[in-house]
Order: sequence, then C-alpha cells, then structure tokens
Amino acid sequence: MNEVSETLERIFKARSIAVVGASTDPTKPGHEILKNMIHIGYKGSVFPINPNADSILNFKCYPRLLDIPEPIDLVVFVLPPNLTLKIVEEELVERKRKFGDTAGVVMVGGGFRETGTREGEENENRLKQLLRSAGIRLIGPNCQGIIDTTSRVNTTFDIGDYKKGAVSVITQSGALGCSFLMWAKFNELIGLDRFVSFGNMADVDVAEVLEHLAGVPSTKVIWVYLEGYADGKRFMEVARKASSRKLVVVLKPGKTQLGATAAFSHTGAIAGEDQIWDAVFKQTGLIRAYSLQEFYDTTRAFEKLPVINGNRIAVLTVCGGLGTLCIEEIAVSHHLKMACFSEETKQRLRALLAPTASVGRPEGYVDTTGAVTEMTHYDAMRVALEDEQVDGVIFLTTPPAFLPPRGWAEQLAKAYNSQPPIGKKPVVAVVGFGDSARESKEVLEHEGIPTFDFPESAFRVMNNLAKYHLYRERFAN
Amino acid sequence: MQCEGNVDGRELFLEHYKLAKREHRNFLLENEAAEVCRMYSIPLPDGGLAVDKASAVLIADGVGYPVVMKVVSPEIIHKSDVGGVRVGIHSKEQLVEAYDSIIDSVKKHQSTAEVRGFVVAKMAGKGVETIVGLKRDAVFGSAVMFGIGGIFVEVYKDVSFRVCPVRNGDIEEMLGEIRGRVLLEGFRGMPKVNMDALKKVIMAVCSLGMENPEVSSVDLNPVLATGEGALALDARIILQ
Repeated sequence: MNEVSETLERIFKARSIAVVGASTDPTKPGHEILKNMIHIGYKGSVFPINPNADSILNFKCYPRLLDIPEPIDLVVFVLPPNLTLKIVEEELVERKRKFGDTAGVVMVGGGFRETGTREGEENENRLKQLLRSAGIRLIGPNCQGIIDTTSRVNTTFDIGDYKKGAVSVITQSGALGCSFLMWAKFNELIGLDRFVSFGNMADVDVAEVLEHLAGVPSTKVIWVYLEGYADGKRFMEVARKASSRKLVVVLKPGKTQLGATAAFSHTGAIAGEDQIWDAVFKQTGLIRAYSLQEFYDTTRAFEKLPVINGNRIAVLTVCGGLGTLCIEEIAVSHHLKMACFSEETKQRLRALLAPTASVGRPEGYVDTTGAVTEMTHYDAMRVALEDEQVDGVIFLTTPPAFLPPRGWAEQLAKAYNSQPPIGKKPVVAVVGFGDSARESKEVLEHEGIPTFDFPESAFRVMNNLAKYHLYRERFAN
Repeated sequence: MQCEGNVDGRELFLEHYKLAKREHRNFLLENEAAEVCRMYSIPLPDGGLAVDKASAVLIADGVGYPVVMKVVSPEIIHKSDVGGVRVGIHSKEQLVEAYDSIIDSVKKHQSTAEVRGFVVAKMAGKGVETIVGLKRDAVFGSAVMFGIGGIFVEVYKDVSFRVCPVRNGDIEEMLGEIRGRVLLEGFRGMPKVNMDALKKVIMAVCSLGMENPEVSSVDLNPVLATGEGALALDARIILQ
C-alpha cells in the first residue's frame, strides 16, 4: 500500500471523529451528521465541538478541538468558510503539530470555489495551503464526505444506516451519489461498501480514490459520477488499473458540448470533449452509462451477477411481445448476439414445454407462451443454461395470473443457483408487470437475479456485461 | 516504430513549422503537409508543386493524366471555397485552361491572396472515401479519428476516436465501430478495402501527432480506401 492509500485507509477506518459545528438543532446538518453516525452504528469515539452545549445526542461536547484528550483520526467541519478557516488555523494545525493525530478532514460546509467569487476561491486556496503544510488530507469542501460500511464511519447528513455490500460510490455530486443510495435502498437493490463525495475536490481526488478502491477486496463494483479531471494521462493509468480488478461503471455528462466552433479542420469541428472521453472509457475499460437509468441499473446488476464469459444470449420469454422487443435490441447490438442452441437443447426444450411453445425460431429464442407451470420455469431455465453455446440468459415474463407469485420465481431462481459456481452464467429478468408483481421481483432479487420493468434495461445490462468481458479479454492479452 | 520516433519527419516538420510561424500562418501549405505525411509513410498520390504553367505540364506528364490541381497559398486554407481545386484534368490543354481559370477564380474570391503555385497530382480512381484525423485535446493530448470521409463528414459524424498511442486492437475497434463499416467490407459489389493499409495510416497519423506537439489538428480527407491500399488525397495540418 502506498502512502496515499495508507492515509485514505486511516480516514475510512477512523477510530475517533470530531465534528466541528455540531448542532443541538435537529434541522441542521451539524446535528444530522451525528444522528447518522448513531444510525449506522459507528462504534468509535465521537467528539462534537460546540462551546455552547454540554452534550448533543448523548455525546459530550468540547468547546475547542484542542480540548479533546484522546487522539483524533478524522475531523468533520460543518461551518461557514470564515469560521472554518479560523478553526483550522488556530486549532487544527496546532493540534496536528502537538499530537500528530489527524489524518484527514471532511469539509461539509460550502462557500468556497463553488460560489464563483474571488473570495470563495481565495478561501479555498488558503484552506488547501493550511492543510497541506500541516500534512492533513482534505475531502471537500462542499461535500457529503464518506461512508464505510465496515468501519461504520459516516460523515454524511443524508444517509443513515445502509446495507453492507460490494458497491462503492465515488461522486463529484454529493446529492446524486446520495440519490442513488436512496433509490436503491427500497427493495435493497444494492449493498454499499464505501462512499466518497468530493464536492469541490480541492485535495483528495477521483483518481486517488479510484486507485485506492481498486485495491479494496470488499469492493466489487465502483460507481463513478465524473464531471471532469485535468490530468488525462494520470486518469487513464488509474482507470486501466481499476478496471482490470473491478467493474467500474461511469456516468459523465457533457454529451451536448460541441467541438471548438472556430475549428479549422473537420476533425477539430467534430471532436468535442465528450468524444475524447468516450474513447478514454473504451481504452481504459470503464463501462460508460449513457443515462442515469442505465447507470443505476448496470451498477446494481453488476453487484449481483457473475461476469459473462462470452456474448451469446438466449432469450427465454413467457410473453411474445416482450421477447420480440428484446431480440430486436440484440439484433442491432454491437456486442451481443443471439445464442445458437444445440440440437439436444432444442429437443429437451420441446419435450418439456407445451406444444404451443416456440423453440429456436429465431436461434436462441424460446417463447414458452403462457402455457407454463412453476416447474417449466425451472426446467426451461436449467436447459438453456446447460447449453455450452449459451453465455447468458434474458428471461421475460408477464406472470400468468393462475401462478402464485412466489412459486415460479423460486423455481427460476433455483435453476439459476443450481449452476456450478465456477463459470456461473448471468441471468436477468424482465417482469413486465412492474410493481404489481412486486412479490415475484423480491424473490428474484433476493436470489441474485436482477429484475427490470423493460426489455431495453435488461438488454443494456447484458450488453454492458459483454463489454466488460471484451475489456477483460483485452487486458488479458 | 523505432523508439526515438521519426527523426527525419520531425526535422522536416519543424522546418515547415518555423516558416509558417514567420509568415503568421496557423497551417502548413498543401505541399508542405504532403511532404510531412510522406515522411510518416502516409501514401499520397504521385505529384508535386508547380510554380508555373511549364512545370505543371512537366509534372502532369510525369505522373500521367488524369490529374488534379490545387492552389497553394498562405492565405487560403479552404481551397474549394475559392474555386482553387480542379479535378479530372485529362490533357495538357485542359491543364493550361484549368491553371488560368483557377487563378481567375481565386482572384475573384480573394484578390489579395498570394498564389505560391499549384499542387499537381495523379487523380485517384474509385474507392471508399474515409477520413483519418487528429486533434490535440487539452486533457488527453493527441486523439486520432477515423470514419467515413468526404465533404459531408461534419453532417453525418460517422467517426470514432481513440487517444494516442493506440494499440492494434484499438484500431480494430475503431474500424468496427462506425456505422459505415459495411462500406469497407465490400458493399454492393465494391471490393473489400485493404484494412491493413487503413490501419497503417491511422497509426502513422498518431505518430505524427505525438511526435510533433506543435500540431493542433490533422485532416486527411478523403483517405481513399480501395482493395489495394489507402491513399490520402488531401492533407491538412493545422498548427497550435
């Protein structure tokens, strides 16, 4: 582990946290942050700094940072810029000099460069300079800070407790990062490993955190909301490293930016910033999502699914319409193609399905029609997954009303989970009835099969898995 | 590609670059750009710079008709906009006529433009018009572009980018990514184009951009892709 990683790890694993600007007022972020630390179950020491209160939420208050008698790993600031600067200069820097204890600070408060004023910029530069010379790393300012669901460190004012899992979030918009977590919280669509919101990114930056998380074993998928990065070569180097070890899904706005208007060449006129970033993502193996929905869906599905080992997809549908829409997507896709069933697979499928079912027309497609039982869900999925010429399955249904909502889903999941763990093939499910089929969806999600409302969403997730497969092959060579 | 890069190419480029800067030009002249491209092993049609009618005729005789003729002027960057290009010249008579009429047309459009001469080059046959370009990005440095070329390139934007340096696999992906890739694979009885030749041009443009940081952008448009090879019919090098 390099020095940056060691410091970041000390921040993520902080055993004690001081909150400067802690508030007794439940409507203030300086109060909410303490509450969220309790909610998430942080077991370390918490020291609210507030000269006018004895205690907040049963934590003993201290008037000044210098008064805390124990070592502090992390300091959170929730104050306006002038007060922040004053306390950093008079107390924090002094404390670091005396005790050498603070590894980092999270500056939640704003009023710096993001205001677009000269004063804001000067304040931010002063802040950076003070902390740098003291040897303290800065996350922020103007951010939500960090969450670590293992150490239970949480500096955010939006997120309380969260299910532990394998998704880590890196975001240049704190609110968007939190909105993803809140969106996925319902139905527990993801589990969180770590969260970092940078705000103005005055010090600790995207590349440092991406590089660090690439080496964190509990993280499987990294969700990156990226607004920009100034050092292109460094970004590419880190991104390559990260994508060779993790599934990195990125959303980067900027599609509408045009090339230089006064370009003297065709290339200059066409080449907007976005096209170059798009190339960078392809070359470094980051999976770029092109919409917020794709961003969310891909991330949550990647956490659950095994990687795919090819691009041949079988489409198994109970509903002809949904199935047709799905194979149309595959037909025009650059990365996926329909699987070719073996003769044996076709015979097995015909034998177990109703005579009305359609098998292998077109190749890789099975329409069971509504004439299904709970058991045929198990059998058909199992047979499709057993075919060596199939790399993954998209299942689509408008669940027949005569089947109990749990039974068919359990059978489908059983077939999926009876695969041997090595070489396990991914399955995604479109349950066309949306929230009216909630019970079925819950079963599937719980058993590791991501569910979607629309065939396009399921297709995009599979397509992104296949892209990742392509990138991995490329890195292996 | 050798480690030290293309030393001769760099030297020649710098020579033209210095002249351009002295003349307050932000682009290389057509013949200069062509010379630099040749140094980077980018194939161009046979031809040369004619400074008068007699040398134009000599060059045309040398390369054989039909030829094309393009005006060379430090004040003109978009040559066809001022009637500075003539294609399909089949004889000496047509060449002489074209020479005069281009001068007339240029004078009409841009009376103050200094005409340094004409590039006279062998006219290419049929093929797929592609574009290979380069742009220097503030964040990532040189980025190479490949796509379907011609005059409508900015309308259809059927192009693909990669940041330099590119690996062979990147170029394969670029070729496969554009919508018009079917045109390269032998569309409606047209021959399948020589992909290796195209790849070499893309690789060469990348080297040109990376070794010459004074280059702001490059357009090779069109690069005529045929069954035999790839030929850059027009080369534009814009400077920082």
